[in-house]
Amino acid sequence: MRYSWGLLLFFTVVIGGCVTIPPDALKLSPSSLADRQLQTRIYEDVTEQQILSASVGIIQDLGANITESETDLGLIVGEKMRDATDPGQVVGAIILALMGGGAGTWDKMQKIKFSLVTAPASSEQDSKRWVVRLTIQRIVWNTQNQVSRREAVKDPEIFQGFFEKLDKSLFLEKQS
Amino acid sequence: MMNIYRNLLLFLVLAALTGCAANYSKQQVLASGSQVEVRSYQTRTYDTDNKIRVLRAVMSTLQDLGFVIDKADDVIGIVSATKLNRYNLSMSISVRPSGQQMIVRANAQYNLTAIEDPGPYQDFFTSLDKGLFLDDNLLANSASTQNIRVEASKNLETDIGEDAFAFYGQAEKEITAGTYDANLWAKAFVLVEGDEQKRKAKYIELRAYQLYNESATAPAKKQATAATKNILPVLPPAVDQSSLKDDISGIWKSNITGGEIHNRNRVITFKQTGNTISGTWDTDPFHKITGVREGDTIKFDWIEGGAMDKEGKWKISPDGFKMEGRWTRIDGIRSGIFDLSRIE
Repeated sequence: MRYSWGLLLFFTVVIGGCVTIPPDALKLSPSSLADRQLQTRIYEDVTEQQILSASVGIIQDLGANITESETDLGLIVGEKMRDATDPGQVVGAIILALMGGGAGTWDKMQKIKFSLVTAPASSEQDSKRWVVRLTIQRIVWNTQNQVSRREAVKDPEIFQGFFEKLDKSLFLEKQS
Repeated sequence: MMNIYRNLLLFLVLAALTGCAANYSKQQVLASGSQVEVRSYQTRTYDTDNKIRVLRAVMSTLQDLGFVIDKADDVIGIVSATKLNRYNLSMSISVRPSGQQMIVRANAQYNLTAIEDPGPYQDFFTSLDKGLFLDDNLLANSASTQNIRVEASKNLETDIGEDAFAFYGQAEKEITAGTYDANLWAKAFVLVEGDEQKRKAKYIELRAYQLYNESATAPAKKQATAATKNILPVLPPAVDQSSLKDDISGIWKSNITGGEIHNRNRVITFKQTGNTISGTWDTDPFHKITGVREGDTIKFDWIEGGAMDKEGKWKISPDGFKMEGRWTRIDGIRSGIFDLSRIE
């Protein structure tokens, strides 16, 4: 009977010891089409450069630093560090601590990354239609400097807001 | 007896622990494992000389897979991307020309470990194949119409460049509205092997291709008729139609299903010399067909760059306007319909 515990421990170590990648990590998920629609807009009668420079402006408006740009492949990346304190979470942590749950932790700061890619909508040499796709991610650290969240941001309002700004900016650019 | 057992267990547990533990050692700086083998499934070669196109396809594939692109450089040919989904999955993909081909190599790191299993890389390349194919499909359609009648295309407005996104939305609406194509809906069910959750996604994919193909072939048909009137007759009345049955040379449109690709409506040009058949995909150097004709059947081999070879058989219709058959991958795992109808 005693060694059955040992066996259990052995198998737990064998199974849990090596971290393996989730089997669907590199597969298209059922939601990937919906995500694409959310993150994508198509612009006509503009050049790729106009889209990229307008996007730089908007990412800067959002308070992010541009960390990477590649014009030949159509890429702009920006990042920002922000406070991630959620009052509700803080109160919850304090209550938990008062009830004897030990030192509470809550989210302290977050790094948000914006990545925008443009691609020709058709394969003709001088395409005037461009597919613009924005993706956003964030990493959140708690008060003990541990990573508490790693996730993609998929809030529709954020994307709508971004593309509305891009619409305006491109419209103005065409006028001038 | 008990003691030996316990010692053995202790040894096994320790061995398991040390086997997986990541420690600071030379091994962590240098790589472990058989590099040649790992490299072989991290790498895939594509028959194209367009580096930018491959890089762009890599970027959009990564985005589809939920990655955020961190860096890209077209001169060296590198894309780096990260996926955060509770875990941290980072990939870097290099694209390097070699003659008329592009060698794509992918490296992935999951949290703190390098991925050395073939599975995730196969998944990635499967998606990339699709990405390049979707792109290809656009290319094949817009270019094939140019090939058929260059003069005619000058006069006609074509909106073949219309993106496929619109159709995904339309296909999804059909499901919500309940106006979906029952046959295709059933087919989706079979293709996802009865997984109800994936059925909708598969239907959307199938239907979007169908809608896209319908919209893309319409202008092509229009052009063909316009061409008949204005420039060259497609089939001069003087041609003895019976000869079409004996000689399949000409331009054909395909309908291919199964495997990872569905409804591939391609334009294929066939040549028949004696009993030998050769076929080329218009504007697509990925594919080549060779075959041998016996009576009204053709046994064919279908070679596709970057994928496993396939083979199959066609039966030619009595009027020589249709060929019907199936393809099977040589390992027998994948197969599908491969029908053709004559355009010229």
